[in-house]
Amino acid sequence: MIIRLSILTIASALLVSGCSSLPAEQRSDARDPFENSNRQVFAFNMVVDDAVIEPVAKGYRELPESVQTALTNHAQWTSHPSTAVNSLLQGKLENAALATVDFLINGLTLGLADLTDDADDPAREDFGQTLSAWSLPQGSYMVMPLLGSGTARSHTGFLVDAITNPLGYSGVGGVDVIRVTSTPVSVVTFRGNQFDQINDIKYNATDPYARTRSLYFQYREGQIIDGDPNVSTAADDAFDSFLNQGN
Amino acid sequence: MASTVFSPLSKTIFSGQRLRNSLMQLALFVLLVSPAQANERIEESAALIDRLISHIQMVISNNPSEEEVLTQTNYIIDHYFDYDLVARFSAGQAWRSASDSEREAYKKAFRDVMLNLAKSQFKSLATLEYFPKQATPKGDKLVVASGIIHDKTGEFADATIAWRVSTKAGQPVKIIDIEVENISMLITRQQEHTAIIQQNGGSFQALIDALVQQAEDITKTSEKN
Repeated sequence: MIIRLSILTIASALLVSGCSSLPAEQRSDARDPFENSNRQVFAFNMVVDDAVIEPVAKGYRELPESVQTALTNHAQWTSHPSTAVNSLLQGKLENAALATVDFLINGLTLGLADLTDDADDPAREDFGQTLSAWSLPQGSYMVMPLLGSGTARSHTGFLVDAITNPLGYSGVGGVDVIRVTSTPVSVVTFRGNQFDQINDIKYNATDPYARTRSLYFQYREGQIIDGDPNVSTAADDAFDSFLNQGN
Repeated sequence: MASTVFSPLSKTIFSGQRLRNSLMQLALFVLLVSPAQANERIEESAALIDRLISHIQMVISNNPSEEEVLTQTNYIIDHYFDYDLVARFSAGQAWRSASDSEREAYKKAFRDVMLNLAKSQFKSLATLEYFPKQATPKGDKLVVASGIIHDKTGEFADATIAWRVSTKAGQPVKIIDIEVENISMLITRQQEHTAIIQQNGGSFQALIDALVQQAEDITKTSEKN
């Protein structure tokens, strides 16, 4: 069901955005040729956030801290199979092993309790990151209804992860319930755990759309380079170029 | 005879010696002078961050009034940051075509946003600790000093923070950007500001107006809270 919805969402968004590509000189960001339609989808997502996600996330924050932690743990746990597969595909064997061990051990409580050492938590890896490791260009920035920010590469990765998540093929009883609930649980825990930061963008940014886009690209780059401070980021290049222009 | 001294062969040898000497000098420069200067700039950058952290801790320990926070934030912006570069970078490409009066108005509006943000959030810094990790040169005009921010209350997970420090030759080292968990404050601002200008038909004044409005909104929100 979720997979069908994702395919439908991504396909319809691609159709819409394909009709409204902006010329380069009218873009506020070269990576965003569909800015006009993206802004409309972003506005729609904000309406959904106002009506559903923010109130639910607010409710989540009212829950006892132990329940919040359990739900966050569960959301992370459901992503471990996908992390293990994608880590393998990127040659990150240690991370793949960590994700597998975490998934198996914490599976005793359906991921609600973190029975492993926090310091050894595996880094989240998705198929979008795998495609990046395989040097596939990121493509255009696209905001999808309900799914939010991403690029052609990351949205494709999301779709592939949804279809190939090993959790679905495990044959474990009750796994369908976990699969159906994992996305809403992830959305609510993410929104709840980042409540103030997201509200700061939503209510205080001069241009929430542009700020979200900027944060998305920077955060995603951080995930792709695994936060390695020795790798030069786009920001490093931008500052280097700025300082070398005689500023 | 003089002519034999300057024969083509001896000329080649002479040129070869000069080339070798030049290369030797260059190698010596690279091996001795450059790393020394680079290391000095790295150490200066790390020391600047240490001084800034100590300064902030000192201010917090005095339980400052709102007015004192504003005074101290102004002092911090002027002494630890290269505000001129910060303003120019954050305005993006539009800075080049802006008039002098627009640039001054922008600098004031952007500073007011930063001051009001600092005023509303200064107290939240009280529970944070900073642990420096490393300082790395990025090119010859920039050093990135990074560390970890730890929340003593345990409410927030540890976060990596990086300070971009301008290390241009002949100028004092100054901070030009703060990056938390790979999110650069100035890159975010620049991209947001560029979008505002583009959405308003290329008007730099529209950006200034938006910043003035934002500064007022921050004050109102913090007064409400």
